[in-house]
Amino acid sequence: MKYWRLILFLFLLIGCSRDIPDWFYDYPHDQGDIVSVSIRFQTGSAAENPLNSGITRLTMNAVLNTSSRNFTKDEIHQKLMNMAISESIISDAEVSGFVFRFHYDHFNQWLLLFKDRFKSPQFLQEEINTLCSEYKNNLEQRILFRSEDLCRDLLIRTLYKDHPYESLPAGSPASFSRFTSDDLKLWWKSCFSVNNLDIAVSGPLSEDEKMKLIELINGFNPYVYPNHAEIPEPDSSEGVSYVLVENESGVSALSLGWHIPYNRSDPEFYPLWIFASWLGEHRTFYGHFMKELRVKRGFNYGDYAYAEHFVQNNYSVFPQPGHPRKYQYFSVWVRPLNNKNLPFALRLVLHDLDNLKKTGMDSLAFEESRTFLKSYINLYAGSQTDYLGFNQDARFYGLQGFPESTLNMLDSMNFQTANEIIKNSIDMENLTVVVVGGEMDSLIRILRSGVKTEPVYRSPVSRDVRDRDRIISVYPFPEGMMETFTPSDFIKDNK
Amino acid sequence: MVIPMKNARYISFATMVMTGSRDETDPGYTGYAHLLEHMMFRGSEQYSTDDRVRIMYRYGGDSNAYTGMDYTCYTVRCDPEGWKDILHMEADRLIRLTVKEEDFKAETGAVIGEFGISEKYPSSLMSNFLRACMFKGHTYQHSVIGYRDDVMNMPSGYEYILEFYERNYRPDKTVMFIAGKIDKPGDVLTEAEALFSEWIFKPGPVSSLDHSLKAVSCNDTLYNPTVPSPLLKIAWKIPGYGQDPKGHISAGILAEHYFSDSSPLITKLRDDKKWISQSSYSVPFTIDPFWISLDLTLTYEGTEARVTDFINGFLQDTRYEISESDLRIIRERYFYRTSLRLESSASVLGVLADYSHVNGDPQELNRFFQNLERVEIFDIRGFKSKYLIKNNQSYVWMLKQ
Repeated sequence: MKYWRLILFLFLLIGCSRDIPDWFYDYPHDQGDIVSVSIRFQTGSAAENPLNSGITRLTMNAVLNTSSRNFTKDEIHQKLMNMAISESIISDAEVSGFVFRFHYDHFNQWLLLFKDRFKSPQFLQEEINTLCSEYKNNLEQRILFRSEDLCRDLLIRTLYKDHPYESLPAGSPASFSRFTSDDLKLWWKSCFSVNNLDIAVSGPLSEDEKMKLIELINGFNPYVYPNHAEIPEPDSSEGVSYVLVENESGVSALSLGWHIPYNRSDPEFYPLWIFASWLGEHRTFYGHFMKELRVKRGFNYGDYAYAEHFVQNNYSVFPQPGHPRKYQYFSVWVRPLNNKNLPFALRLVLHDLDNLKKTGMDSLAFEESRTFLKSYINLYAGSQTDYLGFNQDARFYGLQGFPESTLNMLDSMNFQTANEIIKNSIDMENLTVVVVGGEMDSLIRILRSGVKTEPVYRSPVSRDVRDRDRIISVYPFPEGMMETFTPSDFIKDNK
Repeated sequence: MVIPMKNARYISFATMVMTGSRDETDPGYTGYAHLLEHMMFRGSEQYSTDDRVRIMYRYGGDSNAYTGMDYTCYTVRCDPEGWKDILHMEADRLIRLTVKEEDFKAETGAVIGEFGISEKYPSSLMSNFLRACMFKGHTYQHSVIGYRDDVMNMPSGYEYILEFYERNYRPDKTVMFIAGKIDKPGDVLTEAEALFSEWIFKPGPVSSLDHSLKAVSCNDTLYNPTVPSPLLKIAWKIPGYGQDPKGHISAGILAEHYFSDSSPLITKLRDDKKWISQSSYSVPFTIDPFWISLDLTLTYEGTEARVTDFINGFLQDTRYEISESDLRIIRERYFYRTSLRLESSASVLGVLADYSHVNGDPQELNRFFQNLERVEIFDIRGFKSKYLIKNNQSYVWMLKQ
């Protein structure tokens, strides 16, 4: 009897001990009553093939938005809407996630709904058909009417031809004509499990509430170990290629890019991030190309550069978390401009990149851009779910914490070393150039002949600009493969 | 208005000027509120474009703007250390914008480029048709970006943009919100007061817009050989929030009740009848009469008349009238939806601008929720029988052939 206190203590200890799995990340919350949950799986469009392109995103959408065992699709929608629960899917090549935001008042109801859908999705064929038709329609609209989106999609598909990244997470119109309920069931079972996920959570949840979530996830496909195939290195020496899409418009969109051998896990990536920022942060007024093409010449709405795969975060100007990739590409995006000015604008971009390859960045500009970026990335996380997502991205790259890890990496290199990396990473010999717009015959002739192309201005420009124009207007286009399409080519089949 | 937020990572500014495409009353000059928004980044008396860029760059800032029908909002997010410089810069461009003619002409190219991005979108074409026929006599008849001819003529509008700025950018039409990491809110307010005391109030023009709520009904079909599926946009003319807040709130509630994704009408059209594949609706928060609109993507051609007849029949069917419990649920939704938006300093300012743009009063957000509580079921039903009716309904189709 004298050990009864010890026995009671051990009993309580065992009863209270709660194992927090290594896939569960709890972040301190400072956002009042909002609960944020980001569940991310190590699977994505890189695991797909051209015939089932888009199945990952479709499957995830079906889990959230079609009937489960105990709730019909409409009941689910109604409940979510009544509680103003925000749910979204972010699906990319290597990772795919569910993101939830809701008021703490609704935690238990959310958990119930989540559990039923997550553990017992029904994948009813009729509901899948509706989703497929929605996807197909959205993709067709994107291809036919959103020339800039088509342009960027084609840049990726061309850069990663015959590589797992070629299959875009959004899929292709053709593939959405053939998915069956069984396809989705199989995909959900084989690619999504507790063994290939991590969860980031923040909010005023009690320990008991967190344990409820952990227990639920613990029992999710525990005996399935999704196959995480190693992504091969893309071929980065394919030469120059021009992909030209005639859409009979008065304006043309331009995207160009090339492979880079670094990602965020490499210190060498960060000089390129600074370089891209100097060339032009997404939808800002500050960049080099913005100054040259819009501010001085009034050519178009905007001109930006990216050191990695970039997806805009809904309506913000910042990147969306959830798109980390092992292999990255550097790209420049020139927003639609008059067809007559397209050849000149392309020449200007190529000319300046070529020069920068020779000279690198100016040291003052580099340091100012570094300082800018170190503050600017603090704006990235507009919400707590973004913050969780950026931390998950950091983990993908083996880094600890966002933005701290990035700040450290941005500071880790001196200018001279960084500038050498920038110069060596501009690959003018293996560029992919995509143009979607009108008057492609004329563009093809200009690209082939290299004939001088004068810019067309609405008002006189300064002498400095005119002097530079004279040089740029005869800058030789790199020789390369040329392919021409119309937008409908990308709807008809699996091009 | 200064809103310090605990644990904020940065500071946000939202400067709301209650000037939008609604103020474009002169024929031939549509799109100028938006063009002026562009010009506001082209330098002021004390800060050139390069100065602006340098200061924003120093504080890792994002400086952006958007123009709507009723207002234009200038946003800045940056390192909290930059608050004073940003405040000075924002005040300078509001009070003393200087636009060089060559910069003006170059910037019109950016607007023409922007116009080219969305000109051919089916949604733009359909909205433009409905605006033109539903809001004759009011500036809502044109889109924010403006008519094609006016946009293409913008390079010759230098004198006009200066006049437009003088006429419309005034202290009585402007509210500046600052939120986020602010250690000494009193200092920020004192600095702002000192800066803006130089801004002299000048009386503006009196609006002569047609605010009539006379029923309007027009319809047409647009043809577009590339459109993948038939599209339908239906709209009902309703009072503006600025004119009738409770009426406008009723419109929002009715739109949620009838047109949300899981509403009986949409589920019947989509899941039972399979006539549509997608739907969305909107009730823009406007000062003057505008619309409730419903956008549908049809599954196949040939069902056009059936779809509109079904919608009209459904709206008259008393079995699907809004009930007290529906109203209670929708009220709660509004509350939770708004509370989810009050997360970061930038999103808090977005919410404040959304509501206060109708009269410049930040308290409008609170007033909206008070009115939401006060709206009764009979108000909503009365609103519906007055506005959601066939002779106040306009629609446009977009078909392949």
